[in-house]
Amino acid sequence: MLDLVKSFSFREKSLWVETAIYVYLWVWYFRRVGAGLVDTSMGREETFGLLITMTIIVVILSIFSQIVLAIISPGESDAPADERDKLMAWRAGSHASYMLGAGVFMVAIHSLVNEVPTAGVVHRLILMLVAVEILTNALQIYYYRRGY
Amino acid sequence: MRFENSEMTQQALADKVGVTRQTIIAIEHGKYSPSLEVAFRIAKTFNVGLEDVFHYK
Repeated sequence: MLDLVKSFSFREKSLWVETAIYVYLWVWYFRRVGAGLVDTSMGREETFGLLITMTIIVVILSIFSQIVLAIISPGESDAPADERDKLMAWRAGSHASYMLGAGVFMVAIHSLVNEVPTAGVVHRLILMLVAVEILTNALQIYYYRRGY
Repeated sequence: MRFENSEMTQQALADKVGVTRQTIIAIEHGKYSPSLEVAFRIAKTFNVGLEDVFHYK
């Protein structure tokens, strides 16, 4: 297991950690806000306050994790992305953008048909953005594991 | 080719060519086809022609 992790490039390690942070924190957030909006225990101000807090926590944890990774992988962190890194990032982003387009379209239609309140629409759109970000990272990890 | 050149390590080749060690591993395992620029840089590192390093299947 340790040998497997050692074979990861800095970018791949960084993707794993970033994805874990996104999945853990955003799943918690959307479960909390989703339940709060459905049973009306959370108002618009509360959900947006929690969204801003969550965004700040995600940014701080991402920066902190990158610093820790840079410390345990000396010499790798400052290496620029090579052509394979860039190609995989571009491919993953390209594929994920289709999901973003489809997701935004579905949210728009669903919100129009069901007359979803503004807070619900905004959170559905943010959910799509987060899901696409996680998908982009997951696709890059898949390409790294596949070799290309 | 690395072993015929003083057993050059993957990291040393990666540094000379300007890619990561993982990219060299992917190229050696036939999982990644490098750009022409990187292919030429690898061939130049070993002072051989492109077709001595890469083969089209």
